[in-house]
Amino acid sequence: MSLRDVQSRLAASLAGREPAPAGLDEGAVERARRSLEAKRRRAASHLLPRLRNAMGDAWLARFREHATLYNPAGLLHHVDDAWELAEALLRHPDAQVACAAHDDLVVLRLRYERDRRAGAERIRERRGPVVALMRTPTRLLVVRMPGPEGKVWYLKV
Amino acid sequence: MADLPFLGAGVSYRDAWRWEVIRHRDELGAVECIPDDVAGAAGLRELVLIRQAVPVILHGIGLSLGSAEGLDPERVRHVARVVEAVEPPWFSEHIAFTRAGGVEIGHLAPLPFTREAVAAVAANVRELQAALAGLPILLENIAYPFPLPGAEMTEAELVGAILESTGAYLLLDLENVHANALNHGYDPIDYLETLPLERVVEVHLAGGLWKEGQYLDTHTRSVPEESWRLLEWLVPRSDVRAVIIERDDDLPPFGDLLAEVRRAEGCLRVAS
Amino acid sequence: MNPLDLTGPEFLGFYLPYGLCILALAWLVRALLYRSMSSPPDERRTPGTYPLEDDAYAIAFLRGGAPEAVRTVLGRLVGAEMLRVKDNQVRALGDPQSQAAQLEPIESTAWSAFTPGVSYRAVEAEQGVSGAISTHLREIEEELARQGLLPTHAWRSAFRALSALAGLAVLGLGLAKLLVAFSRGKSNVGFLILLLIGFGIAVIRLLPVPRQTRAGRRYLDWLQESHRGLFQMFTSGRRGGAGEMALAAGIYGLAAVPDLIPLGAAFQPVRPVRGDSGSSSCGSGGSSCSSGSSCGGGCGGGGCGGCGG
Repeated sequence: MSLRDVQSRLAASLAGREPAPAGLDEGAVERARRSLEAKRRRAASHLLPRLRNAMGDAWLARFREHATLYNPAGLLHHVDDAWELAEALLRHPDAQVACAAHDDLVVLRLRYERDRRAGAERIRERRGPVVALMRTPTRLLVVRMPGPEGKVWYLKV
Repeated sequence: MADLPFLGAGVSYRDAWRWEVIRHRDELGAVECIPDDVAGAAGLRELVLIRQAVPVILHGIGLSLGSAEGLDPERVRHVARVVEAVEPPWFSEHIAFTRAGGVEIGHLAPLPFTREAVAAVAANVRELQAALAGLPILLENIAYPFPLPGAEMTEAELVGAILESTGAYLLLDLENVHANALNHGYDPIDYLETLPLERVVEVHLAGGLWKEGQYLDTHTRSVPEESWRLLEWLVPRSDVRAVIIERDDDLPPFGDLLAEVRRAEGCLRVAS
Repeated sequence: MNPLDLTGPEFLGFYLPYGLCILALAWLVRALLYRSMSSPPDERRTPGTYPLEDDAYAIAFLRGGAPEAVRTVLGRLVGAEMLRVKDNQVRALGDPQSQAAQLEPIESTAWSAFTPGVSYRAVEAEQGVSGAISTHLREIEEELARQGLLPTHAWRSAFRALSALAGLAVLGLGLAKLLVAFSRGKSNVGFLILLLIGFGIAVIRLLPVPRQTRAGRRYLDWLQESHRGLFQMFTSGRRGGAGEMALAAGIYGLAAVPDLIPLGAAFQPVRPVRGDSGSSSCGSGGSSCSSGSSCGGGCGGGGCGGCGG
């Protein structure tokens, strides 16, 4: 097998898409896959604290499902990963989860812009203004001024 | 190598340390930053402000120098922009790959110990060297959870062959050496003795933990005594210019990291 | 043609564009003067050279003059738990002998204005300290002027003279016309009075003596940008040392340090309490707020460690 093929198969197995390539310790590959998923999950927890809290015990299983289906990309792929998950949960039947997803996304949008069609730089720093309503823990109108370091105002409503 | 500056001991940069790094600038030889985490002009400006306080070295994690598919031109351009803004004395990356077949692994995956892997890394490093206008490149050894089949050489021989064919220097991660020695059953000193130690410019130290019978290089604990002993063994045998204490998570009080920095400085001073 | 002999409407038709032209010209001259205020940069106080904690008072002086420097010194003493603020009162605590030994000269001089165990109104404390450290403040001011960060006396005089000349040219004519109108028994001078008030405000707002030179403004902007980590440390609830408190207060003002907010509030006049729909802005001192999560740089995705559990 060429190096390119070995790497493709290994990458796919570490992402949980394929079994481990022949000749590799399957147990070791599976441990590595679980560790990588845990790393992604920890990064997402940092970026989506409200969602993590709102989902409680369901977070683990839901993230596993997401990790299997979505392949984050780009320089800030951990942000891309979290963003995708939050967007997917915006219409969650549990209003608390949907609300948490919405509010965590607002926080991400204050700092970043996302263009799914872009390559390495699909996550970029936010330059434009943002006006949004957050609902947890209190209702806040959030206004971000334009510019790479736009001032952010939080107004109680 | 004579023109690479001596920096001493420092820490890997975290957002949480933003003020601490500036406050303790006189006690830090350098701070190591990851260009992949820099988003736009504001992120670049942040690095420049840090660099005004303490020397900054750049350590990439996402170029995937071991990719048979070649480098992502956008990522190379991004790294070049950060290098231009920060003007570090060198740039480091890993002997590993992080993406293949459209899948972003999210971590450093091992290469097979083969001549094809050496050639792939060499081609990518040459492309990177051209993009960075001849800035010295350091390559780091990684901790690997499993070896890939079809090995034509040992890991140390792979590292040596890559350094020779690229002219790059070595960023020797002693915690990775420690982890690999534990997980794959060999003596870390035997391993080190087969490396071209004269090419070691920088050392990484970190602490990990045991999980499911494997020692994981998690960067979440203090540096273990075994790794300190490896540093004490290494320093008289090489010309180390910088030692970076890595801590990615479970961040302790910054004073704890400073104590490790001071200990690393002590090791460097004993040898000089 | 004597403008004082013009009728009311004719005079207003002349006076408004006249006043605007004078103000515009004066503003331009002021801008040129401001740009001319240059001196060789001082290595110690220049963007890119991080200050020491002892520089907090000079930085506060640069930002807001003697009052800010005095408040920063008071903040330092609060941080060192030598003063306590409660209900707009500042109470001196502790043993002056043992604690004074750890203080810088300006701090120790400020501390000497207090008697331990006595409570002072905040304004009294401010005045007392201001008097006690006046020599230190003068030295700071002279040093900053030598370093090209504050306008010298000569420059300040030049700006004052410009402001006075423009004021005289604009307001003098208007006041003269007002007197002529009254002497002729005219009482329909409402618009003229409004113009006089407007021009008066414009002279004050458009032609102030600049607080800092361009170099001083640049240095201050750099300080506020480069010390955002210090600012965020306090806003995230972490308690720093007294020296860090003083540095943050010097750069951003007392409101940047939660433990010093009562001290800052003690200097404000009492305001009526707002209703529930009050708004709050995040951050102060001209810094942008951290946008949401502290993560992004190096959090989670950064580092090249192995995968933990």
